[in-house]
Amino acid sequence: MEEYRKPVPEPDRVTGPFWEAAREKKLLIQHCPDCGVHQFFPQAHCRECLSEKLEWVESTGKGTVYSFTVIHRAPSSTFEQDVPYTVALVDLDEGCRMISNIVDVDPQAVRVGMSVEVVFEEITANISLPKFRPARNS
Amino acid sequence: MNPRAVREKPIFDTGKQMSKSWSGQIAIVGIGESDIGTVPDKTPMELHADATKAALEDCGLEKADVDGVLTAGITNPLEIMHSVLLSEYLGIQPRFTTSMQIGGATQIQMIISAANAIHCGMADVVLIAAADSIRSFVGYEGLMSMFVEGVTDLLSRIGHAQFEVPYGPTLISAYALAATRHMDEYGTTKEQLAQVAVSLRKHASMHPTAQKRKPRTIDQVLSSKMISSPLTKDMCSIISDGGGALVLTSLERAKDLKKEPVFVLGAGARTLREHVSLVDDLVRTGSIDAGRQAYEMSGLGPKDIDFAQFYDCFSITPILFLEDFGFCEKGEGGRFVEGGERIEIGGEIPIVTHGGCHAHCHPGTPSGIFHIIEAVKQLRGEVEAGRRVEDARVGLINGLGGHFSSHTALIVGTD
Repeated sequence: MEEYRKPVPEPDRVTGPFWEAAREKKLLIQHCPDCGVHQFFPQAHCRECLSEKLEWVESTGKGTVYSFTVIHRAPSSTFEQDVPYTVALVDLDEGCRMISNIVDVDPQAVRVGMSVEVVFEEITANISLPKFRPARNS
Repeated sequence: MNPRAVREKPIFDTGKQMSKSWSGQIAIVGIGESDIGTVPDKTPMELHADATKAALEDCGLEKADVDGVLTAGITNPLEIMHSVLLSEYLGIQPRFTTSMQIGGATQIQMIISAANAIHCGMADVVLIAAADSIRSFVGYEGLMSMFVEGVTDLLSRIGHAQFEVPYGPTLISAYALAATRHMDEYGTTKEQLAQVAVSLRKHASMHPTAQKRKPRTIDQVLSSKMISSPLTKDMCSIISDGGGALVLTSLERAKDLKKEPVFVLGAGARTLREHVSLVDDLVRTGSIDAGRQAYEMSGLGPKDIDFAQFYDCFSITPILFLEDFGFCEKGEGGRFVEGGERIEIGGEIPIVTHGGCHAHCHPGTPSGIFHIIEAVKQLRGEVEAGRRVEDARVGLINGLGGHFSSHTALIVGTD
């Protein structure tokens, strides 16, 4: 496998379980048992009620594109090989939003409101990045 | 409908009176600028000092009169306690000093803080200075050798290290996401986005020191390099060296100074979230709340405003702010700017009359200081004939920091 040169997430005390699950192609989000909200990205405290009892739950991995942009000017040299690529805000069906890439589709064909589903890109032995592609059966 | 789409409730309740105590009681009495554009031989500290000297000269105060110093810091995170470093460099020993950092919203937040301090007697004369060198990177050798390839790389690292940066977003992409959403919800077109850039460039063409003074057409803007769709290069901020300074004091003290004072009539602020993925609604911004506070405090409304120096980091933001400050209905911003007549000098509400981040000077966070300086110049009648807003008495300025994160609003006037 060619060396991956783009930024690689470094799991920490809070996010470790997310990245372990991602290796097994599972998308985890946080759920707050105290106030009931789903939360992404993860952190130690609930942004709604400051509870520290957050639990991990598995997302269906299905959502819709809230907005997107096709990047032509890469942020740094390691992304230059990828341009043009799509950066999107995806609203998961559970009600939280992620930033991600839309893959397996021509950037010109991406639309606001498009149904998408998660796929995992194994970038290193330990890290798989959740990305999204157009939903195949909905 | 996605549950996410539930709007956040505004935290500002117009039923509760904002403090009106310093409305009209605090004045901007001095303005100054460093050299701007490409300044290959000056560090950010030197640029701060040049702007400060010019602002003190403008109002006739001495540095010994200054007992408050506020700065916005610089992009180099290695320069900590920046306002203290600047005070030392200038030989000022302030009572009231700090550096504030809410991106492009910082300048107005500094004015609010200065007004509070002056009104409470914690300072008599406050210097606000902001400058940086993000074009030439003078003084940045240490930082640049450590890890970055340039300003785009540096700013792209602002996102969440685990959940944003690995996907290759840029600071620009946050604004592109808002533009895409606005186009989808309201039918705003890329030509309308381009018109903003064309009108601002036209204003800059009449400004003697603006960095980009050559007029542009819509076709030229649309055919400039695509950066992050739908934003092309000409719809983005330029990258500059330079800075500015302001001197504020009380109404009493302002009376005896060299220039006609410009009063702070109203101000407001609202911060939503830092990360773009947490901003619920990219087309209804925190400026709605900031503006509501500023209008309330000043007792004025959109009809009273003679010009609006909107924070124009990308061509979508003036369109959003025309809506959010009540100059047109939500969703109508794109159609409002069409043809340019309504937003240019002589129009219904001239915006960004110096050319702004698009064409005048954009040294990063400090660039909002030029929007304030331009407002003061317009109210004093100190601008060249072509871009003068005739009989201007009240101006609106806003600031925007981060990824649609922090919003500030300021209303200034001569009486």
